[in-house]
Amino acid sequence: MNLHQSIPCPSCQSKIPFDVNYLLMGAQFACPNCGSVISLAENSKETVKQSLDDFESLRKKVAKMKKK
Amino acid sequence: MADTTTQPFKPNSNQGLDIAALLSAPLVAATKANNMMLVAQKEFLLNTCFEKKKDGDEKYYDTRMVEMKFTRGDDALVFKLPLITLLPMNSLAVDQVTVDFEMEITTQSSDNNNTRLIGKVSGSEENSSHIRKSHAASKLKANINASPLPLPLGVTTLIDMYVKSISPTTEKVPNNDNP
Repeated sequence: MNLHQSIPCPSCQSKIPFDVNYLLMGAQFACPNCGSVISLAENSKETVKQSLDDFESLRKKVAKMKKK
Repeated sequence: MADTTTQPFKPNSNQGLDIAALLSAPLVAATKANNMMLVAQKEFLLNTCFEKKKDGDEKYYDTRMVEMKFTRGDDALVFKLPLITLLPMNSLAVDQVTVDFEMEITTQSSDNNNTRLIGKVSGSEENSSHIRKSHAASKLKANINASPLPLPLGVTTLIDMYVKSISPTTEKVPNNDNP
């Protein structure tokens, strides 16, 4: 799990580390300070998944550019 | 039409090699590649993380939001987050350029303002009151590294601004137990 990303807890503003790929799989991430839990809403999963796929395609395209 | 096929490198022993051009050519190519990649990344950001909208004659980009669930004890809330803050992005750029070659310096010339190194097989001697040339041969090893590029400052500022704006909302998830 890659926890380099974080968002501030809406409750106490402490940083909640998360991995977007696990969010997509339905995982919940807890605030280390107040114990509040965040997860991705079901109706937003498709948007996030599509964006990640698009970014991966762009990354591959760039890798090809680098080889040229 | 000009012949664009790659020709084998044949140094002209009389004209010498311009070291500055040799060193800068790969960096110029890398800079052009970086430019292409950054343009592609900009297009991705605008098309994916923002929605193009039109208000009369005015066109603008609106932030694309995603919904997150927030649970604290028995309370379940929903908050919206800009999509850009969730994507694990880094800068898609050339992360390293190494120009590593050895060249024999046969001529060094300098005047009052500049020093110029020329590598060539043979050379001629020239003297004047303000130009000095020497023919002491030495080897030059060049190793140029372009360090990784971080995300552009504008993008990180935007993400920081969004992240710092996250605050509790009053939108409550309907409780199915109490219709």
